Amino acid sequence: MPADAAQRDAADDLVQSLYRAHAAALIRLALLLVGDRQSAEDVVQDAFMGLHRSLPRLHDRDKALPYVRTAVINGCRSVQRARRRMALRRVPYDPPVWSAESAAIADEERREVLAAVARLPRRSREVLALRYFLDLPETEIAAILGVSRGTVSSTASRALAALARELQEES
Amino acid sequence: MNTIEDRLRNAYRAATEPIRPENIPALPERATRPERAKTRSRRARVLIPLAAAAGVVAVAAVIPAVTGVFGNTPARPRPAAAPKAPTGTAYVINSGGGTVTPIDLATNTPGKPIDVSGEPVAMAITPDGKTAYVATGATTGGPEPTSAQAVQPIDLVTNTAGKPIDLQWPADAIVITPDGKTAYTINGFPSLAVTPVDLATNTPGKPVKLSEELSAVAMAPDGKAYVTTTTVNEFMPIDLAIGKLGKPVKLSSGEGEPVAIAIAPNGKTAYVVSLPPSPSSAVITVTPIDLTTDTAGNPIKVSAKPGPAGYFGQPLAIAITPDGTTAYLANGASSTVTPIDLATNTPGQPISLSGKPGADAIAISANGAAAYVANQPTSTVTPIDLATNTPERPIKIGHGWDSGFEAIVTVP
Repeated sequence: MPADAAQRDAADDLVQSLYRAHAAALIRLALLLVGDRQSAEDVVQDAFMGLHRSLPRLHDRDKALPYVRTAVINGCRSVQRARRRMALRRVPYDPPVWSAESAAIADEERREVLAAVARLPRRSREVLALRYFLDLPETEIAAILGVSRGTVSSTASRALAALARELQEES
Repeated sequence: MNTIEDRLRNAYRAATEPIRPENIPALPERATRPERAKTRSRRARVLIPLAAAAGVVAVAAVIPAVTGVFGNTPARPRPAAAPKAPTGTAYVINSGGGTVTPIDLATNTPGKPIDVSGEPVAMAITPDGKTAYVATGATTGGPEPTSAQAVQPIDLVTNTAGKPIDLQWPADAIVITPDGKTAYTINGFPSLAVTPVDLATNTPGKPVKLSEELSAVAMAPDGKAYVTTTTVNEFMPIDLAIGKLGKPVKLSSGEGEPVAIAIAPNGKTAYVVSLPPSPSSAVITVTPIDLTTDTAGNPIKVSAKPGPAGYFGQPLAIAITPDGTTAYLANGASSTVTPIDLATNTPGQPISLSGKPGADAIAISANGAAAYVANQPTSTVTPIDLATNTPERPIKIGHGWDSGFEAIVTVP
């Protein structure tokens, strides 16, 4: 087998094995950020395709997972940007799982919490999902978002405070 | 004891049932090959036509303001006998179509769209008015630099695009120094950096890392730059050459994220536009900031229609008349433009754009006769006669389905 073909197969294997190990968690993460399963799956698939394209430039293979996590966050932002426009054009998309129209969450309390999260600024939502859903340490979240650890920490505590305030007002 | 953290964890779990391995869509065999990936991304584009549109949404929403006001439209006072008819050219930056379309403001006729590489999101014009630099911000990649992200010059005399200048990171915003020597591109997520471009040679310098993600940037006539970030309700100066943020001015804490900055033509006051504190709120805040004392004045409250459900944020753009007397706030969710009297800091009657065309970006003609509002959903630009604040017949630009109007910029 020519060397470049072998290299390509190795790259395929790496992407496929990372996908098998992390796709489910990343789809769930994306779901929390974009609200519907189809968009979440698209975002995650695109992120892995992007990883494959970028592998030749990725010198450290340990960076593949952080790469793909960043790409998922980035893809979720793209979906939201598109929606900003689609909402104005009245193009329908699946209602977010936390909306009253969705049957995904039966429990009212949990729906309220997620609806309150959805009203937070984008960065806050990303930090909360990475911290409390993926349970990543602050240093990793900082690397994924490209900000300092202090920013992650202060964003998280501000977001939690805002969330507590909002939920208290509602109940 | 149910802490807020526990409630959040439980809610996250409830929203996302564990996915069984058999329900994960497979990455098709060899689908990861670049050629296959291309097909795939085209398909994704059909699903979400504008998904790959532009950089950070907040920054994108802001650029109209920044470029509209600062995009180096000369800040000259309105002549005593103000000409009634607008003159010059407006340029509509369309990220969906990958084009920049000139509009002759004397006749309100659009010219041939200028094709640019990538997805343009912002534009700045050199002080001599001869060249525009378009920033392209499309990105869906990860944290590694790709070196295919470009800034592209456009010759405004011939309306032709020049050779793209490759940057390591996509650019969400661009400002040009008053001496016309340097453009600074703001690289949004995932890089959070500023890359200078030497405009004499069109070569990029080394990117400088930023500590925060910016939501808006504006350059005062004296060349000082100011920013807001996505994380704090603050307005601060920035040294773009070293990427260092200066002493912040606090905005009132009850507001949403700051998303746009406009600076008065005399350079003495900045106006920061903040989103409503929550999507159910109907109040947009414009905070005047005295740049000579670095203090925030009383916030100006402008009532707004909340955005549609399930949609985050709303397009807001602001432009100031060349004589500095009035600011116009364009609100994409309510399709209105609200004039704000800058002598008294009071908002006037909102101008409704007929037929719900949206209002995503705004710029004012160099002679102050008319404002131009770019409406993404209908692919139109609505002129507003500023003598009477009445909207005129919309000018149709492009096809509609691929529109992604990010900004509009005027030149004399």
